[in-house]
Formats: sequence, C-alpha cells, structure tokens
Amino acid sequence: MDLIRLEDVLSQIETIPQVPGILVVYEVRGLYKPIDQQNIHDRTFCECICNRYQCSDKEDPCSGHA
Amino acid sequence: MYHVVPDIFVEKRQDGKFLIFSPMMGKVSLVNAEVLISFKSSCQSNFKGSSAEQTSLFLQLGLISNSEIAMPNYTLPPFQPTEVVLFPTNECNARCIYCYGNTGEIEVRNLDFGVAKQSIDFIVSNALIKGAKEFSTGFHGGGEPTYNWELLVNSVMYAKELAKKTGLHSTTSIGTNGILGEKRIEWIIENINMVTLSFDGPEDIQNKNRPLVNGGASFPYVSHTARRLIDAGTDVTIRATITSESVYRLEEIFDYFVSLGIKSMHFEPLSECGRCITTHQTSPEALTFVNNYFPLIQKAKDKGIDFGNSLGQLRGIKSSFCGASGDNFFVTPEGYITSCLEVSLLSDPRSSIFFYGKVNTDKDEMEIDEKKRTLLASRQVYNMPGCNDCYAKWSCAGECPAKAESAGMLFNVEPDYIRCQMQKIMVKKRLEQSVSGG
Repeated sequence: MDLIRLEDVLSQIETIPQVPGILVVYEVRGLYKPIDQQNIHDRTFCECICNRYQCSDKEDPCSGHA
Repeated sequence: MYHVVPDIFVEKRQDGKFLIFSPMMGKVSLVNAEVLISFKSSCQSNFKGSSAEQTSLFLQLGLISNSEIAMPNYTLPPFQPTEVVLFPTNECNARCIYCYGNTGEIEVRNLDFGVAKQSIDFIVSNALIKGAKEFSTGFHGGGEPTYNWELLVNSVMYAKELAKKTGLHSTTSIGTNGILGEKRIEWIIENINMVTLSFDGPEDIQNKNRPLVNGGASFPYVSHTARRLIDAGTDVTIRATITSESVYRLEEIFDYFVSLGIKSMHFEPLSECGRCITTHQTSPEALTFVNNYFPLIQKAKDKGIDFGNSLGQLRGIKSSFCGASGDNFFVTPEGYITSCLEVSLLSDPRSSIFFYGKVNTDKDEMEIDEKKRTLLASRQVYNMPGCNDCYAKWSCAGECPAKAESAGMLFNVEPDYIRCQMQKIMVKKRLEQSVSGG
C-alpha cells in the first residue's frame, strides 16, 4: 500500500472509538530541517546528466543539501 | 494557536502501525492508530481540548506547527547568472549505445570562441553587479567537450584571465567521457576543478555501452583517466548509466569504482531517448533498479562515499526538479541558450520549450525570451495537478522536465510514468529505512 493523504486516512478511521487508548510512538526521525528553517534557493545544474547538484547561493546554501 | 501542517502522508502498514511522513517538517514516524484517533479528535476541537502532552507529541511528529506554514512559491529572478555551462561541440569520440545526443548521426556543430567569450564576460559582469565572490564555467553538452580542445583551453584561460583582472574566484567543471591522451589528462588535472567522468563500470559493461567511434574498447582509456585523476587528487565523480542489463550488476559496478579509489558516484537509470531508439536499449524496471540500488546506499555510507542519483532524494523541500525551471544558463554549439543539458540541438523538438535565448555576438548582447523563461519557471510541483496527492512531490518536484516533455507530460506528469514509479519507490524505501534504525 502507498502513502496516502492524512485527511483520507483520518476519514477512514471514523468508526474507531473517539476516546483514544495509549498513544504509542515507536519511532520518530528528522530527515532534514523543517521548511521554516530551510534556505530554499534556486537549484542549478541538472539532476540527471550532471550530478553537480548545486545551490545558486553559495554564500548561504540550501540547507537541504548544504 | 496551532496549525495543521499541509501535505502529510500516511501508510497503514501490514503490522498495523502507521507510517507518517511530514515533508514540510522533514519528519517521518511510526505510530499506533491511537495517535491518529487522538489527532483527529484534537483537530475537530481545534486543539482546544488537547492536553499539553498531546500537542507536544503532534509537534514532535510534524503534524502541527506553532505558526502557519509558508508554502514554497518560486519567483523567477532577473536573468543574471554567474554560472555558465558551455557545450563546445556535438561531436564525440565515443558512440554510446544510448547517447541522448545522437552523436555521429547529426551535423557537427562547434561552439565559436566569440560566443564562449561573450558568455563568460556576461557571468563575470553579473557576479560583479551582484557582489558575488566567484563565477563558474562548466563544459558539457551533447558531444564530448574535449573534442573541441582549442575552445575548451581558450575558454578556461579566458576565465582565469578575467578572474585575475576582477579579483573574483573562478571555478571550472567538465563532464567528459574520459577518452583522453596523457597530455590532455595532465591539462585537466592542472586546470579543471571538478570532473564528472561518464563511466559505466567493469570492462565488459563499459566497452559494450560506451564504444569508441570505430567500435573499439574505451575501457583502457577511461580506466586510465580515472586512475590518473584520482592519483592527482582531482575532485572526480563517476556518472554511470544503468541499463536493463547492467542493473543486475550494480554491486559489482560499485565495488569496481571503490577499488579505483572513487569517492563520489552517481548511478542513473537509463532514460530511453536518442540512440536507444535504434539500439533498443531499455530502462531498468523500476523495482529491479531500486532493489539493486538500495543496499548500496548503506554500503556507500559505511565507506564514506558520496553516492546518489536523481531519484527519491530526501534532502529537503524543493518545488522544481532542477535548474531547467530556474536559472540554468547553458550555451549550445550553435549559440542558443538552453536550460537543459539534454536538449542541445535546435532540431530537437524540445528546443521549442528549453531554448530561451541566443548569444548574439553581432550586437554583443544576450537575446532572452522572457516569456519562455516564465513558462519554464512555472513548472513547479505545486502547479502540477498530477503530483498533488503524491508523497514524493516535495523531493521529486515534478520529475525531469526534459524526460517528461518527451513523454508528453511536461506540465502534468501522470502517476504511471516509469520515472514517477522509481521516485515513489525510492522515497518510500528511504522512509521505511529511516524508521527501522537505518
């Protein structure tokens, strides 16, 4: 099964009792910085042929691949 | 006041656990159903009845935020690039069986030095206006850039000369097939900062995929070039194309490059275009590629190797796949300005999309079609309806525009598109690995 939108999952669990049981978080991971902490600049070059994946702002590079 | 984070995706796993991916917050988690039930009831009450523990948990999972999320909204900057990639020629000393440039089958065009010089002048001028500290000159293209050796050397020397005059730092890069004589290798070591070497791996694969013009073996040349560059300490990255045949030998290919001392590799599945039509080379099947590729991610990590490709990268949010929708300034052998490395000829039907200007040496100006720039810049994932409900949307960002255009899907990629499938499988595997101690 693929990942689907949260809204669609929530709509499917309508019949589950409204009072929740114990909330369990098995694991949580940070993959990269949240969007409000990222510097999102224009990405230059080509992802497929030339892998010189670079950020156009070298002084303040994109946090996602800095 | 809490705000529900947009674009959250969930999978109910076979073990009954729920995998939650919040791309905007860069979070992936594994929870039980009760977490989602609790979240649903909290949403219904606008979080007014939620306990501090609940809201803290929702914040931790990236489900809510203390402030409203400002979604990406790309604004096309004025045309002032400080980087140029020159395509010196569309001729080549190899005849790769999947060549996207169809070298040897098209009229040879070589870039005029006047065009190259004017392009370098332009980026240097922009760097000075913008107060940047450096400018960058790259060499790539539908052909082998070293095949027009004189232009390559003259352009690099000119860039160096300008750097000296202006006090700016000049960086140079090249994408080459590595079929080079000793003197040229020496020159590259001395004068080029970053080298991307097109190299498909062990001898039989390399010789089959990337033969010389006369059909001869390219492996002895390319492996020699690789060794020389590595020994000299050049910043070199391998760019290997993976076909439906070589996909089963990914680990062997990887190990071979490791044995050469390579520290940076890029394994890209073949995209069926160019010469593939006559040689009948095919892309690897999506799941086969991913299943063979994925174990190498950890292996590369363990060995300190920079290993990647254009698929399923979880490096942060992006709204366009690459610089083709942005500020790419690539100059073709005919002097046209293209935003895509793959589209280098006017005869390519896709040039009507990706060619957005011309270097006019008569008038000493850049002729820029702003309408085309604006059209290209509008290709952002949030403008693509087919991507709306896809969990990979903020990492794939609408996939490669040139390949999508070839498939007739430039502005609306459909979910059954093979590259989409690869992107999704890769992202999902990365997410699963992230929450399983990977």
